[in-house]
Amino acid sequence: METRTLDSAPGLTRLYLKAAVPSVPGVAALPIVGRRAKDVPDLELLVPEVSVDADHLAAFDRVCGFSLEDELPATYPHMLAFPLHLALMTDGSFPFPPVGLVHIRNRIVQHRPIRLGEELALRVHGTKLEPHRRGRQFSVITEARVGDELVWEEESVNLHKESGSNDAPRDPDPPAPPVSAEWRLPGDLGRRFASVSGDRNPIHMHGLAAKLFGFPRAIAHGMWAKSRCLAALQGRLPSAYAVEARFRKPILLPGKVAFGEERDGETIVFAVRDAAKGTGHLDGRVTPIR
Amino acid sequence: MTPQVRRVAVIGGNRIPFARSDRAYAQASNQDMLTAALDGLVGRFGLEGQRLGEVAAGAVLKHSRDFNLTREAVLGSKLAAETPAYDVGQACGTGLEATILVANKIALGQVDAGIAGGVDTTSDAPIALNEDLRRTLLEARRAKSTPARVRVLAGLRPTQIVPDIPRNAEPRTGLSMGEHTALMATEWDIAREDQDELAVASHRNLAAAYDEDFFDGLITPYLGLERDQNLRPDASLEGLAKLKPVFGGEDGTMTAGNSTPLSDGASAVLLASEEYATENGLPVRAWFVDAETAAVDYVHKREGLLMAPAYAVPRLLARNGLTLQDFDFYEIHEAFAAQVLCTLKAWEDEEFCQGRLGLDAPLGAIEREKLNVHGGSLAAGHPFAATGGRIVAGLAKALDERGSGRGLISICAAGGQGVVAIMEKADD
Repeated sequence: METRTLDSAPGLTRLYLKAAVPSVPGVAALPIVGRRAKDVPDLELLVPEVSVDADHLAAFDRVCGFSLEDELPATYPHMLAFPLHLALMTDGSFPFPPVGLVHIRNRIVQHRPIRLGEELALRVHGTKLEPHRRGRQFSVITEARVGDELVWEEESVNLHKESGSNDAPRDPDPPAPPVSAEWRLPGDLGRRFASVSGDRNPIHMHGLAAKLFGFPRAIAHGMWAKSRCLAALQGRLPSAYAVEARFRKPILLPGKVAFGEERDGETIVFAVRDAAKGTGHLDGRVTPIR
Repeated sequence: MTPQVRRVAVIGGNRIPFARSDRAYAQASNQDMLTAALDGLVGRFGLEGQRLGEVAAGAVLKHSRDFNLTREAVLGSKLAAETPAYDVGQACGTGLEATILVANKIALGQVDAGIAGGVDTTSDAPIALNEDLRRTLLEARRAKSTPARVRVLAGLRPTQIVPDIPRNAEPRTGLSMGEHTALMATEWDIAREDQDELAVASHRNLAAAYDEDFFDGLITPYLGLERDQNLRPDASLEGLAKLKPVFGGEDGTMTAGNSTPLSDGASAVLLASEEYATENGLPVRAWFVDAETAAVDYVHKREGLLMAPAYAVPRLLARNGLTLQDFDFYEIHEAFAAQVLCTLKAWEDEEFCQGRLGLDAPLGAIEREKLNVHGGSLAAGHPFAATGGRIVAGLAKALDERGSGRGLISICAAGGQGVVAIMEKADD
């Protein structure tokens, strides 16, 4: 595997231009865009020193509902790694443009809490394409180390929807734990989370842009929803744990959703459902590790 | 010095009639109403110009400029300006918690006499700056140079001028208190008719108390209002049955008739040591004996939001060697009729008392004729922090009139909390 070391996380504006160009109709056929590879490249991106900006952490905590602490929320390192994810997916050797990919699953393992002020080394690589009944899927794997110590890892699974398979039925929603809270989500939630996460995928930014990609309104970021769930559990999370989330139907903005949680032994099961119809948006679980 | 614990006397109380929101007190601020309640009490017990040990009071809905609400009210009152004061906040438990704080200082000999109180207005409610605007203005203040400041302010958007109006919802669940209580009513299977019956009794009892002049010496008219504005002496089961549910969906059992209305008002209670009362020729209406506060986990364990008093009372009874039946008066704050009925049902429920309270046997039933005999919050209204003072003063008078006996106070509060207390009139 080729490892490319970067001095710092790449700038997002340039990457977004790169990401957007191939999705403009007709452009993909032009010679400047180049031919796409058949599979996810054997490429690893490494940033040896990433530090956390306290103001940025505060802004992230605020939009997700975390209280500001010296320990980073488990979803926060994803914010640091996101530019690397985008750089990987906009690399010339990547098989398809990132705009339009669907985030279907995310698993994070926090081996120990990361403290504000600790320098992280981030490594990102992709896994090979695998068949999915609605297209093909691949994972972006991220690792965060403090020195040599692996403190945090993430597997982020993305779906590339492909023609002919779009109608395959979804998995039925698992039974949701009893509702313990209702969240009213404002219409600009996508823009708010975009401004801290850097994920300015147009489907989150504005209803009109989302319509171009087949959504009736702007949709909430999956990582926002996962973060909001963790924030609701803050104070009850073990110090070392895995948190897994499956993203189901997108959350349309503005909207009202219901959050439920339940203990199953050491595991905390949680879910986000549409407050009125009960359709599934997210199913997750927190499992302690030792 | 080893402090000795002294008995705490409830000398008396004063409140202004409670008004419905946006009606008689629409123009009155929390400070106006609290000052009025204090001055009524001062006049009643001849405290003009006197320095008391302290005044503790609070408001649930409070603007940040009212950071010293109680002290400002004292400065505007006829009490000596040398009387210290502080604000207390425990949602709807504020008034009773303030009473406990003052009583404890008296018991320990730190003060000899003090006033506890509370006030709330839903008419003159604080309206906050839009959170984005607030943050932008704070950022501009932190900016080091004028151009930097201009850059920050240039980021302002028209949507940011829309203010934030307080919403009656639990921050961690997003559900209003009524919606939470509707969940409790379902869990405990509380019938609509029973809730309406409790509401009718509340109005009937309050009206009878006015007819018997029970509130003479407890209420001072304010801004043209002489009685609680919410009182409907003719409230009937037939009339209440016509109301549509407001919480719990179409099949809900909770209506505007069996839930407390938004209201405005203030109350104050004078507490003192026995010696102070004797020296100053003040009556001892009742003794403030003991108190307990409990909280429940309505966020993660799904206990009912307003069930905390059900937990506080058995702990208080155990500490005082009493049973639930050892009382002549029960003052259970009627936030919602369903809250009162859930609490009573829980105390009779074996599974709840053993499983959740850890008791050997249920606390049992109470004699319903002893419940809220001079009316409750459903009839009087419920200006959140003012309810505790209304109840303490009313119970003290009821015990005094009876000549002896014991009363139990139970008040539920937002955040899954409950404040309860015992008051007594000895036969001596």
